[in-house]
Amino acid sequence: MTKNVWLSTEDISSDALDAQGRPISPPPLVDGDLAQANSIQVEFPDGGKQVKMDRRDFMRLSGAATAAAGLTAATGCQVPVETIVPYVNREGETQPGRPNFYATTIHGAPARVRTRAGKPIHIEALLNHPSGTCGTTARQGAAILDLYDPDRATGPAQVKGGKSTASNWQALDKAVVEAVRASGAKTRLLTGPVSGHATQEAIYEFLGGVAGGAAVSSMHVAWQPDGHDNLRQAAQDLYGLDGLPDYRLAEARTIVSFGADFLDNFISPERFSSDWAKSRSVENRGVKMSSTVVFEPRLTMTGANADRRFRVRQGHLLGLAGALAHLIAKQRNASAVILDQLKGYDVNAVATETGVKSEDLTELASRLVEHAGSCVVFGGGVLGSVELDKMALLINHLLGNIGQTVVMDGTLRGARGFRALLELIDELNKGQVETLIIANTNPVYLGAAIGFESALEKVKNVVYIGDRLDETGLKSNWFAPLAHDLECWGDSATEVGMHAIQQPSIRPMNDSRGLLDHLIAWGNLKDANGRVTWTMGGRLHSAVTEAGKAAKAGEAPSPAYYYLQDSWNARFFRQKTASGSKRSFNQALRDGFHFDIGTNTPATNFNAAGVKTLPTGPIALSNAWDVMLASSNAFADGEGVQANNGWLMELADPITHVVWESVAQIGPRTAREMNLMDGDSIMISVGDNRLSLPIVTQPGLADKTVVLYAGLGRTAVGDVGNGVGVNAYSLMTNNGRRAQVGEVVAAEGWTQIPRIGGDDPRDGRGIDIRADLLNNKLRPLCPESSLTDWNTKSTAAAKQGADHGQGKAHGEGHGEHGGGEHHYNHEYGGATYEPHGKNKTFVGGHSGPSHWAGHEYPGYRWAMSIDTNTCTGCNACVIACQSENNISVVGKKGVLSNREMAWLRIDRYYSFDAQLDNPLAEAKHQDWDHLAALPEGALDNPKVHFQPMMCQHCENAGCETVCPFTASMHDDEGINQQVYNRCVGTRYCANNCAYKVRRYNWFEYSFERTNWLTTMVNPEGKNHARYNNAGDLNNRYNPEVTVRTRGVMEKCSFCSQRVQKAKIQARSENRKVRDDGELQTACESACPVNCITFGDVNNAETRISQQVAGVRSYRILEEVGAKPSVFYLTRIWNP
Amino acid sequence: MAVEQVYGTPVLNEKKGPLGGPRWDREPLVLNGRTFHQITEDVCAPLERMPSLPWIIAFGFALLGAAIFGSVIVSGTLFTGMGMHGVNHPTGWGVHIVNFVFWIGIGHAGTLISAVLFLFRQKWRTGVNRSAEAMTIFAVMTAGVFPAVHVGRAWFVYWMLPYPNHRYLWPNFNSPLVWDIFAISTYATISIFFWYMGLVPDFATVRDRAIHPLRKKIYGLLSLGWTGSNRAWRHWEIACLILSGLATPLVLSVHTIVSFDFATSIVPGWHATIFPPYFVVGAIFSGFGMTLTLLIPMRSWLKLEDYITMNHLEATNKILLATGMIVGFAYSTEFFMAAYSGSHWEGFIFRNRAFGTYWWAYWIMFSCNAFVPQIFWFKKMRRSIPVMFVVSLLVNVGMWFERYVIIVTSLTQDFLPQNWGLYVMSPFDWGLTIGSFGWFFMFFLLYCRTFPTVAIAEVKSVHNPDDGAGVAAQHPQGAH
Repeated sequence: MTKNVWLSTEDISSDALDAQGRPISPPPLVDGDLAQANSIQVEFPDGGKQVKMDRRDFMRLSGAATAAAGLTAATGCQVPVETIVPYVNREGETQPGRPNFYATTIHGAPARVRTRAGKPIHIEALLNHPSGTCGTTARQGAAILDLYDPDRATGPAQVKGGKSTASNWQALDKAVVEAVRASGAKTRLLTGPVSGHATQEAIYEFLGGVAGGAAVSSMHVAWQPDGHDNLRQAAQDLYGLDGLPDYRLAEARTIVSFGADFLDNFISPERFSSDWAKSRSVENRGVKMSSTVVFEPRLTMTGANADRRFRVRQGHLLGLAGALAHLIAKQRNASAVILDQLKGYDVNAVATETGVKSEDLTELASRLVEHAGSCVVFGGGVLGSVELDKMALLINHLLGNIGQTVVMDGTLRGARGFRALLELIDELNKGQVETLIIANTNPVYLGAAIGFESALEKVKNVVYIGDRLDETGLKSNWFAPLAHDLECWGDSATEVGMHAIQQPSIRPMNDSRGLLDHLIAWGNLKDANGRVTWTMGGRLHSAVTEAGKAAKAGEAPSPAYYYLQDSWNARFFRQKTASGSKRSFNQALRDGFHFDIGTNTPATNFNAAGVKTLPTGPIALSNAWDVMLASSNAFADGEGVQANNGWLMELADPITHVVWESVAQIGPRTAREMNLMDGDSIMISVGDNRLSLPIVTQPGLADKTVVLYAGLGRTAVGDVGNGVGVNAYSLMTNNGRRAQVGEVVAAEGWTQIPRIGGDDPRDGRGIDIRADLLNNKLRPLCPESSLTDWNTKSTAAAKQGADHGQGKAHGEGHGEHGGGEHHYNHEYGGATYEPHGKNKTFVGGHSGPSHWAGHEYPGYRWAMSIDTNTCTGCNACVIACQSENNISVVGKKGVLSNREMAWLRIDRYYSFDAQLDNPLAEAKHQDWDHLAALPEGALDNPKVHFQPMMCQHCENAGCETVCPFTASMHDDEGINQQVYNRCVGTRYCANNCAYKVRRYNWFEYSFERTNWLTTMVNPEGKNHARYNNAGDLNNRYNPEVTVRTRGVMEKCSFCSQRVQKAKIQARSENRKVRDDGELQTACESACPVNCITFGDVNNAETRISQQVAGVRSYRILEEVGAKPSVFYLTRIWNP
Repeated sequence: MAVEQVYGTPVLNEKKGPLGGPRWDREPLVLNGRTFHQITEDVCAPLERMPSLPWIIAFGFALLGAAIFGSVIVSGTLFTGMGMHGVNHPTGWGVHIVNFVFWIGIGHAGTLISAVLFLFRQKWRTGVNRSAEAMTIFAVMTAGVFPAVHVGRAWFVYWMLPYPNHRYLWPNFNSPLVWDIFAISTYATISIFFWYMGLVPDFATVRDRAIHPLRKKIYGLLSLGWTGSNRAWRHWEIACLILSGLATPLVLSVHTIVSFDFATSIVPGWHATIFPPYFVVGAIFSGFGMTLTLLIPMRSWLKLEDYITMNHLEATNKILLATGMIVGFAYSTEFFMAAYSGSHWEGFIFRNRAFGTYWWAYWIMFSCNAFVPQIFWFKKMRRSIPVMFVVSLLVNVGMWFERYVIIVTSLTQDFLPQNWGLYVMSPFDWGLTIGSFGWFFMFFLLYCRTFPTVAIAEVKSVHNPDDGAGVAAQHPQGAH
């Protein structure tokens, strides 16, 4: 690695291009105003300009530097002595102490990368992205850890019989080119999802060059296990569309899903979440807040957030959708063909069969009809069927949603699913493929049960492009290392009209290339001198020559850059001059996206004949179990590509909260019938495939349904992920469906399930569901209300607010009253906000009598609000926090001992009051009885509450008074600070925290400091070292946040480093910190639904002030009297 | 009158009064009419002979325990991290603090016996005060280890002390842990001084009897040149009185302050105004329990039955009975307060204590502390060595579990259900707990062989060898 970065300091002040042709990312904190950004004085110059300094100044500065060094050493809590390298040969644009930001895409979706000293350290939201995707996903955020993963491949290799030998690019390129040229049209390219224009073009150009005129479209297979075969087929049948419909949720009034988990794992979950949240806004939209109705067999994130959720068997979904379609068809005067086809779906018959009340269906149908054109009906999602998706599209058609909330123009294509892989396996088995290039997908692991591995043996040449020698890599002949998304060029289009460029923010750390570069290299064979000896021509060739020309002039970007520019120019910008196209391209790079809806006309022609293939009535349920291979946004996602990522492995799955382990979810009722408890093993068989794994009893699951999360059970992913869990895809059969039918029997064995939150550490069988249950009457921790109530109350509150405004004019003497008296004191807690005179005292809700006047906050007063109405529990914030604040991974054993370190966690409660007749039994259960004592059916379909929980920064903080070392203290801006180097670790603060949000470093997690004694006493220490600091993992640390040593308490700091930075920036401009996203905490910035707001409540104009003062605001455990600075906004249900 | 006829409660002698009237006779504090010389001989004998086999065996076990104690602390707590112990999120405190409070509680009996009973002129204390005080000091030495090593960075624990330094580090005087430092160090200091003060004349006795010059030298140094002059005795008595006056409030203050560690917090189950008296009584209760556990074998092995008599033991048992009932009353009061407060959190934590995950710990506590001592309503039981030894052990167990119940049940399941967890002791915790007994007994066994285990001078002061029974007890001010 010679150089990490491209730009120079000078480049920042102009929008000229660097030698690499890459534009300069605008410093983000100042609205993209470069002139303003450059007017900021750098206190300690970076050496870019000559330093003029007399002797006195020098002495003064060196004194300060010594002091700073001392401080740093102390902050690090016994940081070991390390060899350091002076920053003399500093690269281009990097300035010590200042981050650079790059707009790019991670996993195809837009994001912004923050780099420090040339190293990417944090992935956050791309602000101002027009699609409303203003957050990231957990998987995107965790990609930083993947970048520094020490288990990634370091260079090209030749593989024989599962053993690899290091090779070089020349040999590899030559072998690949020879193979594809010999195979011609018998070459196949199997990739993961490919959506970008340039990438697709390069693939087609390459395959075209290989095939010499054959149909290249059949040579490229883009697939993913979470593929969209069903929806594509349905759209094809009904609309003749080659692609996916796109859904517009922001304006929807009613959203119905028949199993599609659109908030977590369907098409574009982060964008859907964002739009869904917009549709649920009660502040701006009032009574127009949308309602979500979900029919599903497993508890998904979507179901957990739905206003109404019907727990039904997978096999009943089609009947329910049909009945709904039938009802709507009748009301909307559908054509005879449709009515005829649907007449078998009698609502009463379906209701009797499924247990869903017919009134509910009728009511839902009339509501949909009422909101015709502004509602969305989702089908079965990834786990559904063609029929189900067709039925859903039919309902959308009947309601006139097509073209309104459901857009179909064919530009959103989506990858295919297992059926594509099965077709390929068929081809391989028939010997129709001689050379198979596999890129960025792991079919040997994913297709373990459907015979991909054996089919692969029939292929002469297998080339694998991947980031590590994984299961597929070991079965290939040539291994071509793939660069990380942060290391190479690429593009993507995951939304209609939205095109984004994947811009590298670091040179490849290993000897690897991006997919584009691989294709370009194989389209142009070079000799040892770098001269092209054979070429396919076209853009593949011109990219190489342009890169070669630029290389002569100096440092050059990879040919992929030129290819991308060339391709985009031809497709989007169509500029005549090179400089013109470069300008447009650079603009897109700077923005992170380019919007071009294209010329495709949306498909609206409904093909009524397509309906004919629908079953004429509900299909009777077989007696078998439903075995569902689902994905979770935690763990390794459904593909297992991030299975070596400790952050994701330790990220609580939003529903089960299980980490580091494969489990089978079974409903409590079924588990009781089978006499099984959490951790007991079951044997699942689907056809001839069998899998034995422990269960967790998961409330909300349909009867006789078992749900497995896929993505674990990797064998060759690396030290972290190897051997964790089992491969759920080993239950896949040749029908390619992820919802299978099979059998389940109890098996021998018991496993302790590692779960986040509310579980025992090492206790044998007593894994206890009590900690998941919430009785909102006894413990009103999650206040909730209905839309009808909210509408009346908010009006009343508005009136009260007006009265209060008059009262305030009377002026002084107000502060003594505390809160409440003058305010609308609603039942949710009644927090109030009151800016007062010169002291600006912030008065919280039930302040109660106090001898103490309270803290004074003369300047800023930071607070946070969390809107539980839109929080989906997606975990993006948790990972963002982990990345921003250098939080350690503790491993499976650590989780089993209840020692996870997350500063921000998402508590998940099940409330079941609606299902219970006897409130006394409810109270009793909540208190101490066990699962067995719960009334039958209490947990069948519980209401789910998500509650992000982090340090509440209390005014009367329990932690502050009890710390003997004053390590926990309050600052004059309302932040509860934890001074790490003063902390000696009594843990008294954690005991005295009502919210138990403080985290303790039980071991040395962040530094590898092992000796014979500690290794003997605690063998786990080696794993901690691997999770947190092996190889280059140290580079991921955010240098603005201290890395904590063992024995030190830590907790959420409200991202005080970001607060400080914004304050310094504002002070240098002689103003206050703005309320426009200038200052966002890491969690706030990552949140795709914008449910977290952080800001200054001393300023009545800020968004946070308005939220805090609003009727919905409450604080958790108000009666404890700690006066938190984190306000929650009441959940509003719209059933 | 034969001594064996007079035991326990005073016996009425119709004609024995000084004026020929009735007189209530008490059992003499020293039995079998030992002479002053015999007292010196009996008490000093263990110091002047080779150790017996039981002692060697016991000391071997104690050393092993102390070695476990030390190695757990060094290898686990200091070198590897607190993670070696069972503490977790949300149970921030575990056996370290359980043991700390337990041992501090043990330490209460000694000072109570020597100081409070001294002020109340309870003469029977002279037979047991030396050993009880020794127990106090060793218990405080054991207890003191725990807070120091339960912190994450034990090498910085001295930051808790207020000492001037260039880093402006100053303890937070709001924190009960800082109060602990002062309470315990004061208590330890006064206890050591008081103990040592009493030891000075006895050390002089040992010195005077010493044959080996080194032995003479050591005990000479320890006895601070005691001459036995009238002046020395006078000053000595005044010093003892002053120190007992100083020590008496400490009996109340130390455990009061220790209880503040819990009472001033917001944790349901900890946040209770009843804690200070409840803790003090519990401490006295457990202290007397441990005193019995120690004295019963000691008096037999060191052949001190004439000095630590059945009457002493019975008096101790009566205190156990009384304090046990107070403790039981406190347990019940807690339930009443929880119900009466109307606080859901408080109510839950107490129901959970008695019937939840840790019900077994709760009922061990309750039965050992409140029910078991009830057996002492019967005089026969009060005077039965096997019964009282078993009861004393059960009281120790019960009081250990009291601290376990308070700390563990409150922390494991508090406000937010999603925080709930369990606490399970790790092997290191077991090592620490068992090892702490080894550590304690190691000191006590050494003490048995090097210190006069009965206060020779004080016993002589309450004893009249010429009068077989009870004469000394008749002198209102005692005779020195």
